[in-house]
Amino acid sequence: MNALISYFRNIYEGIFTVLVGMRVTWKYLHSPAITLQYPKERMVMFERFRGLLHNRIEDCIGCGQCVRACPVDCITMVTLKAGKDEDLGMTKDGQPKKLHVYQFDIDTLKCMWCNLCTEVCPTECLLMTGQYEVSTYQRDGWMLHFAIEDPPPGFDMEEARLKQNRITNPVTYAGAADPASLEIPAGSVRPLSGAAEFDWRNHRQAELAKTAKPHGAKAAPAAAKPEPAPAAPLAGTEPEAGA
Amino acid sequence: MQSWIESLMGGPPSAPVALLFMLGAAAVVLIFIAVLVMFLAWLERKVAGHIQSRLGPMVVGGWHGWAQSIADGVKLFLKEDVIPGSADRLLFRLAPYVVFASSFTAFVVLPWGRGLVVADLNIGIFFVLAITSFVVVGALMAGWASNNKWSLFGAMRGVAQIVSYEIPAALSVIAVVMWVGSLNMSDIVRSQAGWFWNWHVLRGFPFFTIGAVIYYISALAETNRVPFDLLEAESELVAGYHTEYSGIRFAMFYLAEYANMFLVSSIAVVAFFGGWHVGIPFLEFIPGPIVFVVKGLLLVFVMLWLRWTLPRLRVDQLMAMCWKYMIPIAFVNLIGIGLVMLLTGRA
Repeated sequence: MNALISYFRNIYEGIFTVLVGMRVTWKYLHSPAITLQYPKERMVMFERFRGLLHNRIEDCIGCGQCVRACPVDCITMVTLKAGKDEDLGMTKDGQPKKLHVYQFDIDTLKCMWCNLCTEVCPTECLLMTGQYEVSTYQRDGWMLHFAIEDPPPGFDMEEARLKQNRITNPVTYAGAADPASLEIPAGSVRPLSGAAEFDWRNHRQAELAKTAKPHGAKAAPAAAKPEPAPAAPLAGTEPEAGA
Repeated sequence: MQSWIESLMGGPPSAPVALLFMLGAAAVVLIFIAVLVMFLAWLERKVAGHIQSRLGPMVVGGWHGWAQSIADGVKLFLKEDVIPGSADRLLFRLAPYVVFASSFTAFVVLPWGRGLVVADLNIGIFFVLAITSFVVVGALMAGWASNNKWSLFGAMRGVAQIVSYEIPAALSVIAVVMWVGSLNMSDIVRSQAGWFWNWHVLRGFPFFTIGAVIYYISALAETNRVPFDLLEAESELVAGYHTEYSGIRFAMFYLAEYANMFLVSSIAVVAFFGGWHVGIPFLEFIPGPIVFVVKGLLLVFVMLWLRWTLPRLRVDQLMAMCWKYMIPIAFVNLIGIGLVMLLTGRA
């Protein structure tokens, strides 16, 4: 008798558990996909994400604190004291600029993303962005040049570089012998060069409002998604120093 | 088809013309299978994706990756056809064609609509049950010829599985054949005309309902789909009997698997779900083939759904399910139908 009962219970349980499982999968079939279609959509990084470094060079006073703070010496800076009658203008938060910055290079290959340089930056011009797509076709792509001023004629960059830095970065990384191979294919460059005017501080809020994808939201059809602006992937982060 | 040709030609066609018509019909069936398989492969990936909260293919072709199957097909066609050095070359080359031919041949007796059948055999459903058994031969050939222990394991399991599950499948179909009194597929469909409660699955409640479930489960096992995919069992046997296959030969197995899925679904549609009948008399203007294919695809969808729900059975569970549960129930079912027929004077 027991065997008979367990026989029919087996059948019942077999059918019942299959139906339970099918109900679960049916529910999931209609639940929105969590896929982020990467090249078309990008995840907005969280506020204190340590992405690629960026220097808003127009606010940089050339104090060199970041160079000294860097544990791996990945920042190379060359500055020159401004003359008495020279006025280099003010930073955004009202500090007078007193130094010409002729070179501000960050070697991303060395960078360990520790965030110490942005903490010491008094004008908060050096900050970590939300940019996490840092692959390039050439090693040179890792060397970020931020300085916009050219040194005056007769200024010995080489000597100043050795004098002002504990360890200096190479100006560029040597590529292959063929100069054509050094050319970076179009579209492969990170859109940082044009980002000098970029409003990193308010960018993140704007970016959030624009492309925010709440967790689990249904992905809109790809065609309806507006193509992000060239600089849009670089979701900025709020530097926490002094905040 | 033949009567249609005869009315077109005003008499039996001469041999070359008949051959031409045969080739034409074969080409139509082949194209249908190819398109269907491409659609099903895409559907499978989409359903799998969405059940797992993913999207599945989204890029190729634009709209939801609709061209993914075409791209995959082209890739398979262009791939190198590798034959292992110690394989039995003849059997190795032959196996995919045997597997594909068996499911392809069975398609010719499917009744797509009123009078719309390539070969309206009077033993239609028996023909299908017989010809689909050839999949076993092809699988065993592939497993043996590969000279690979995993392939042979897969093939041996497959033979045991398919041979076992043919019995409940056949028994539940026999019940329908008994009820209708004909092996002809069109006759079986014609007996389910009118409202949908005339479909066998509802009219013969509970016997045909149980029979339909048993047939469907056995068909699932015969097509080697999850949860009965012990032939392939990718986590234990690499890919089972088609481990060593690549390129176009692999594509043939793939084609046969999906064609078989639709085939067994359409047998279920014919035997239990009213064939080309919509089930609602005032909607009968909808062309039979559309109704038939939609019904078949719905059953195929349930197969996909089950695949992404259930884990694979163990070999002993598989055999226990067949011999201890499905076959006795199918037999009781058959006797029940016989009793009903006796009592209602249908016999």
